[in-house]
Amino acid sequence: MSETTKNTNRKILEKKRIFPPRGPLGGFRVLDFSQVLASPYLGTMLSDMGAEVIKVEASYGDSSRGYGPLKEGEAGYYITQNRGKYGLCMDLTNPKAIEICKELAKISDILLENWRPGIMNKRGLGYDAIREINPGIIYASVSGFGNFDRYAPAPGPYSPRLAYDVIAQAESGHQWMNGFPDLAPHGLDVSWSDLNTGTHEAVAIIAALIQRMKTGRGQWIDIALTDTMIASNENLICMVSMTADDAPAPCRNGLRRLSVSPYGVFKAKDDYLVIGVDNDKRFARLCEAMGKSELARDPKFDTNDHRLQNRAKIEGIVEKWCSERTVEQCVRTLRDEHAVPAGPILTNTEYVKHPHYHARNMLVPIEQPRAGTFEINGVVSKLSRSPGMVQGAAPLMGEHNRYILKKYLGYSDKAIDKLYDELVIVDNLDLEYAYNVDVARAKAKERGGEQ
Amino acid sequence: MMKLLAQGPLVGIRVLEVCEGQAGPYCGAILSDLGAEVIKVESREGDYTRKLGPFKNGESAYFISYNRGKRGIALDLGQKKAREIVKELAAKCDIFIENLEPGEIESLGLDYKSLKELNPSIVYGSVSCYGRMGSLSKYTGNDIVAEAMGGHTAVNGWPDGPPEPLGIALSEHCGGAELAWGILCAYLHKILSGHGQYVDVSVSDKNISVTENVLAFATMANITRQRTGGHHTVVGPYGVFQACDGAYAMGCGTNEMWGRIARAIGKPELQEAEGWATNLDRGQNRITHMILLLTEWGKDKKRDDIVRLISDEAFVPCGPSVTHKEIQQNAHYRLRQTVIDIEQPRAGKVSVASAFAGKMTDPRPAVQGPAPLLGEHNEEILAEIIGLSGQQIAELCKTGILVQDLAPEQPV
Repeated sequence: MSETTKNTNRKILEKKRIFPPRGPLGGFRVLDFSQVLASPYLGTMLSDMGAEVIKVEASYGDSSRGYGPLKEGEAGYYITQNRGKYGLCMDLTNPKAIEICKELAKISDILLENWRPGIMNKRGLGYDAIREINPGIIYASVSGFGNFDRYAPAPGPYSPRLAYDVIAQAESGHQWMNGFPDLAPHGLDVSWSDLNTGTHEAVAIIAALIQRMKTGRGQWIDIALTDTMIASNENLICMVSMTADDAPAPCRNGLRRLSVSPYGVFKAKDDYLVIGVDNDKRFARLCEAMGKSELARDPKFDTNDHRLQNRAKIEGIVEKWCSERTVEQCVRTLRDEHAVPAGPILTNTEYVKHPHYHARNMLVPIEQPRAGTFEINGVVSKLSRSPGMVQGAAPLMGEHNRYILKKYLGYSDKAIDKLYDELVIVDNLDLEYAYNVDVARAKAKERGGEQ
Repeated sequence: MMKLLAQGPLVGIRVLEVCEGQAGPYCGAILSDLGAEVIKVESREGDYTRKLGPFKNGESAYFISYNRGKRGIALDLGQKKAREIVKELAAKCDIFIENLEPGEIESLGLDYKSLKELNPSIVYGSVSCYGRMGSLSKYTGNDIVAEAMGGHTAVNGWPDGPPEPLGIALSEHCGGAELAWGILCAYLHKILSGHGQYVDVSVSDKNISVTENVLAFATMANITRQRTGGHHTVVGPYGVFQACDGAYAMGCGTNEMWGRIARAIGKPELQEAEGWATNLDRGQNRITHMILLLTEWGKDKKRDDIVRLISDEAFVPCGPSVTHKEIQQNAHYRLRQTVIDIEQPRAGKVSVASAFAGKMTDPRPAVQGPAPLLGEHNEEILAEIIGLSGQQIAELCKTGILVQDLAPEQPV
C-alpha cells in the first residue's frame, strides 16, 4: 500500500484548475453519470468547451479504469475519455449517496448517463425524479436502442435490448459495408457508434440549452447508438428505397468505396496510400497528374456513373500508376501538385508526431498524478473568440469528493469523514485501483448487487 | 412547391450553407432537423452530389440524403452580382457554413473577414479535411484522406491483409456533427455576449479525437496499434462471425457469458478448456481458436436463428449484421422516426434517415421536408429575405445570374 501511495504525485493533485474555465460553456455545470465510452466522450466535449463536469462513479469505478494502456495503475482509455473532469466516487446503492447526487442534480444544468435503460430509475435518479427537483435540467441518456419508460420520447420494440458498440455497428448496416465482398464483414477499427453518438448528443445538448434560454424549460434527450449510426449512412437508406425490394443489397467492396470511383486504398511501390476522387473536377486533376489528361474526356470515364461502369479499367490505370512510385512520390504529385485528395496511411505512432496536428494544438500535454506527463487529443472545434481548452487531468477515483461536497453542498470536513467511514463515498488516492474495486464490489453485492 | 415544416429547438435561427459533398451539407441537415431555417447556396453546376447515382427520375439519392429539409438558391457565382447577392443573404443570417476546397471561399469573397464586415455577430463555420490552419491546410482532401491521416485506415482490416477504408464515410458524418456542435457553442456565446466568431473544424482532427485509446497507446506506451479484424483482443468472442446466410455480431465480455455460449453451441467442454477459459485466452487466440470454431459451427445455421439462440438462450448481447434494405423496412426505426419517407418533387416517395439522431421531448426535432431542386426557391428566398421585387428577380433570371432547373423531367 505504501508503495502505491508514493506513486501518487500529491503536488499534481493540489494544483488548482482555472476557474471559471475558459470556453463558451463556462459557468454551466454537468453531472456526469457516464461509463466507458459514449457519454464519457461527450462529457469531455462539454468540458473542453468550458463546462464544469463532475463525474460520478459507482464505488467500483468506471470499468474503463482497467483498459489499457496502463501506467502506474492509470488507464489511457479512462484518461482519454475523462480528462478535464472532477471526480466523485460513491456507493450508488446507498440511499445517502443518492441524496447527495440529487442535491448536486438540483444545482446542475445538464445530467449525462449511459446506463442500461431502467438502471437510473431503479436508483431513484431517473428523468422523472430529477425533473421534479430541477425542471430546467437537460437530461441526456445514451443507450443501444433508446429508452422506454413513461417520459421516453420515442420507445420502440428493441428499446429493452442491451447493445454494445459492436452490436450497434451490426444493426446499423456499417459492418455489412466493412470488409471484402467474398469474406464475412468485420467490425470497424474503433467503437465508432459510441464516439459518433457522443458527438450527436453534444449537438442535442447545446440545442436544448439554446432552447432553454427562450423557454426556461429543460428536457429529456434520448439518443441511441443505432439511430446515430443509421443517420450516418451516406446515401444508403435513400438508395435502397429507390430500388426494387428484391434488388441485391448494397454490399461491402473491399479496398474501394462502393458508390464512387476511383476512391479507396491503392498500393504504391513501398506501401499503401489512399486516393479519393468523388467528382469530375477532381477526376480531371487526377488524369492530369498521371499525365493522361485525355482520360477525363473519355466517354468511358467522364462521369462518376461511367467510371463505376468501367471501374476495373480506371482503377487498374490508377493502380498501375501508383505501383511505379513510392507513397511519397504519389502523394507529392497528387496532393501537393494537382490538388487531388490523396494521402499516406498513418499509424497512431506516426500521426502523433505529425507537425500539422501539433500546429493545430491537437496533441496537448496532460499531467496525471500517477502516470505522469504525456500528450492527449486536444479540442476539435477551434473557436476564434471563445476557444475551449483541455481543462486538466482525469481524476483519480473520488479525487474531488471533498472539494465538491464542500464547495457546492457546504459539508464540513467532519461530515465528509463520516461519509468516508460509512463507505458512502470512497476514493483510491492512497490505494491501488484493484484493491478498491474488490472491496467496493463485495460491498455492493452485500447490498443486493449493482449492475 | 412543397413547404418545409420546421419544429425543434433551433426554430427562428437562419443558416446560409455554401457547401457541397458531405460534411458541410450533413451539418446543414442536422441544423435543419433541429428546426433551423437552412438555405443552401449552389453554383450553376449545383452540388456535385447531384451527379452521383443512383438516380430516380433524375434526382440523386446522395443529394437527397444530405440536403432534405433545406431551401435552395442557385446562382452563377462567376458573376460579381451573384456573389453580392450571396453576401446580402449572409448579412441576414445568424450562421454561415462552408466546406469548399482551400482558397475557394476567399475567391468568392465570402470568407469570414468579408462577411464579418457586413454582419459582425455572424457565426461562421468551416469544415474541411485538414482545417483552415496548419501546414496541410492548403491541400484538398475528403473523408478517405482524413481517415487515413487520422489513423483509422491503418487499423481497419485483418492482421494479414491490407489496410481497408471504412465502408461508409463515417468521418464526414462525425465531422459534420462536430461542426454543428462547434457553431452552436459559438451561437450560445453570441446569445450571451453579442459577439460572433469563426469556427474551424478539421475532419482529420476529429478522427484523432475519436480514438478510444489508440492515441494514448502511442503517447503513453509508444505502441503501434495493429489491425484485428474488428475483434476484441483482450475479451471474446467479441466481433463479427459468419452464418450460412449472413453475419452477426456478438459481444461477450465475461467468462460466465462464455460458459453460456459454449453450452448453447454444444461445446460445454470448452468453457474450462486450456486456451479458451479466460477472456485473455479467447481474445489472444481469436484467429486460431474462436473464429475457426464459430465459422465452422455457423456454416449450416441461419443468421437469425443464431442471434435468437445467443441472445435469448445464452443471454449474451448479439445482433444481426443487417443490410440497408432491412433497416429501411424495420418497424423500430420507423417508430423512432430514425427512418422516414419524404416526397420528392420528381423522385416521388423515398426514404431517408434523420440527420440529427437524438430524440427530444420538447420540442421534437424532425425532418422538415424534401431536398430542393436546383434553384427551386430562388424567388421566394430573394423576396422574403432581401426584399427584391418580382421585376428585379426577373431581371436576374434573364441575365443568367439566377439559375433554375425546374423542368419536369431531367435526363439521367
